Amino acid sequence: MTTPLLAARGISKSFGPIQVLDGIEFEVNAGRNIALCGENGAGKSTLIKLMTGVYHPTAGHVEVDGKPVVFPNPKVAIDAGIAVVHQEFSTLSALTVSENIFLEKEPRTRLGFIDRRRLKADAETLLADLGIDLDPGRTLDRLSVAECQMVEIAKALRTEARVLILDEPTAVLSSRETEHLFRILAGLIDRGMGLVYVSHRLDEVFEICTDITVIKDGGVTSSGTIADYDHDKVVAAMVGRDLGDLFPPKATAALPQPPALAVKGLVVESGLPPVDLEVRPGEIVALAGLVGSGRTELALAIFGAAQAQGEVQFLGESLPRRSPGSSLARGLAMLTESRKTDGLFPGASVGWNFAATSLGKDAQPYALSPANEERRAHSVVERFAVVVDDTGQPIDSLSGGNQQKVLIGRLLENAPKVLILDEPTRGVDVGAKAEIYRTLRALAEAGVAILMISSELIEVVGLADRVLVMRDGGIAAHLTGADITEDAIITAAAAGDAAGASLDRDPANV
Amino acid sequence: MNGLALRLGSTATVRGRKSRELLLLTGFLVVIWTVTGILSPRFLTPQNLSDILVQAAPLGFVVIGQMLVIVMRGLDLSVASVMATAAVLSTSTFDNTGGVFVVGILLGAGVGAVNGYLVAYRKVTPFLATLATMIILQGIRFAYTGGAPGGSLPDAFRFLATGRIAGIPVSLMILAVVAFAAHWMLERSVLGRQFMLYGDNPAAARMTGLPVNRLVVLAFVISGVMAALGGLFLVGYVGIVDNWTGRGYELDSIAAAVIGGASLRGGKGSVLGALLAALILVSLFNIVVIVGLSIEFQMVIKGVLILLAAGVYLRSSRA
Repeated sequence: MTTPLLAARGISKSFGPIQVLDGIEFEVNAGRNIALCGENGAGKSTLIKLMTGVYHPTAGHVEVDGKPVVFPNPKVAIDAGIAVVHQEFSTLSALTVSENIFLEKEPRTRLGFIDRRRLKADAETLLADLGIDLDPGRTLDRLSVAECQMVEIAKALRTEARVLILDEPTAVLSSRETEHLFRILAGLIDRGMGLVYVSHRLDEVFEICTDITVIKDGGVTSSGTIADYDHDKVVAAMVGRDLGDLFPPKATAALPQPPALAVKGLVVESGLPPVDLEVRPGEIVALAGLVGSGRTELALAIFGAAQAQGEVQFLGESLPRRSPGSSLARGLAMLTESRKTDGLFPGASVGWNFAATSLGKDAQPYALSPANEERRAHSVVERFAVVVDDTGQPIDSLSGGNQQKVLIGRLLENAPKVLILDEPTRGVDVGAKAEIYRTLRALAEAGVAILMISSELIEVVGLADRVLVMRDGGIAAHLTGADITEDAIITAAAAGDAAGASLDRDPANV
Repeated sequence: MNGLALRLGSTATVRGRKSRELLLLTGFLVVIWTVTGILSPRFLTPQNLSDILVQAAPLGFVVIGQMLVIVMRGLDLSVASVMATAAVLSTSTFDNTGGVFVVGILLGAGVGAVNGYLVAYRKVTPFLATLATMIILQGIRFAYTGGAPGGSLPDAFRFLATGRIAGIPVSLMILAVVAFAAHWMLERSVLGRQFMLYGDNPAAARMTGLPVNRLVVLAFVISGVMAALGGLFLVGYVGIVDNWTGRGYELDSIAAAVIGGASLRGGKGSVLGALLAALILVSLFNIVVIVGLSIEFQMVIKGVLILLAAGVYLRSSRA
């Protein structure tokens, strides 16, 4: 075996009395792409931060080219050739591509001014080298998320990096964009760089990684070349149990009529086709489709958070003027796609976040009832196994998965009859996903009608009783029973869109 | 293990942070009072302290409303203009009846409703909306008074603002009642919780079905009413009506709200903190006079205090 470019040797890290990592061994080799897998909170990001000088190990050390090194700060790690692309971008939207790439490292003229011509030329060279087709003169606010990420990668590689660490790089990308990213990454591997790929999406890991290390509870549970693994083995190492019971059995009983939710000729935006759909009590209907096919817009229009022409019937009653408040009052609840934007109250406590939809529903309509709030919060914490010390703790101190559990718990507070869920398991680890699936199925069995948007094909196939595939704002296919397969969904979602016919590996996730 | 990351980040609860801030403000007030008391024996007399409290009462009313608007991610620049207009209107239209208060308070509510309508339904930024109403109100006031406000101050005013019952200033009793009500509203009522949640994340508030537009209007109405009350008590205290009654109170009330722990980013603030901060500002004014420093010096201190508060709260929210 050659000397690894970067290695963690018996690295441990404690914060106060809490041990986050315990004796981790991890190697990044030239020309290899190692996947770093683990559930939320397993210690992946801590390990990355230790290897890039953000944190300092309590025991063990980092090696570069087989020699022990100490990174007092991230800059030293960068100078040693370790580059990181974080999940959250650090690009500045008002600056151009080239300015972003060479931020604070701009080539200077002899007088100390920024050498614009060289800046542009250097950026062009770098982008061409990476196979990224972007105009260096464009400002970032005119680029897509995917393009911004390309800039981020170019920025990470502006110095002579030999190791590139990518943290959940495809979380915000469509399938086509993901494919483009993978081509770029493959080029880097061919060139002899060592890559670390952190992702929840296991099929991506199998597609582009050569090795894998799984960590759980701060220790390495499994490590080896990817060829020795399959999906179930990775999940077992991550969760410590089998995947077998991830999806509960589907509905078998005949469903009652009439539908709990009926949408007739709903036009979300002029020019888009009218949409008809029905969800009956007891069934889980999935809205599948590519990113941008109009799923979220349709859901928001049904919920009343966006304007639309057409009819929405709820329990047989037509709702002409809908708003989130009136929908919720009638028992139609929605989980939005983005926790951060319009789901969470980030400055409030866990308890406050729970209570937001049930305010004033107690015996005294005007006064708060802290005892009731506390009791309810506790019951949800227990039901969903939310990891929290105190419901008075700020919600932003919880991991993403736990925040999602809080929101799902909140959704069920008022015993809704129809649930609309937009990407209910986004950013949630495997264990929590299984819990969410079980909860949704149990709700359906209790007579709730569920409409679920998901980009994860496995989830759609595993959970939905019926699938509506959306394309260009309309419903392109309706699949039931044994017809619900990943192939059928992909075909319907991408039909007539040749360039987009590559959903094969889209967000399908565990 | 799943929850490791979260346990690390959370030594404090949301409520814990808040009590720490109140403690800090009280501590600061005690320190400046003690230091001044040592420098000048005249300061810590019951008479002087009671004077400071009475002086602080008008700002106390105004800051409660201002703080609420700031909690809602807004800013109310019209408060000083409302103070003066309410005072001018009340003292000129009615004589010694209870009506003097009603008309001023109605004016405050009306201006607040306009502000709230502009912000909630017309999507005007709070800064612009209240800047506009401030100026319009000024114009109306000057036109109405012809530049020189007349009218005598009804006795009821003087009594409410300067009178005492059993040695306790009436204005403080009324402020205490109003402050208690506001405190209860913000901390213990459904409405208060809705205000806080809206301020924290308006988009999430809308998606969780809160009556977001009504909340915004209500916050501005409350601010207008509190400003009107502040104006009435201020003229009662000063003893004369003036077109510029309450000048500077818009910035003082914003400063006090922020020093008292309200965040201009919304979702954070308390009645107690705002009142303590108002008391600190008025104390500083008194202290500067007593210690014999020039009045201009007071402004420097005020500015430094705002920066200090910003720094302290930033750290506390990251802790």
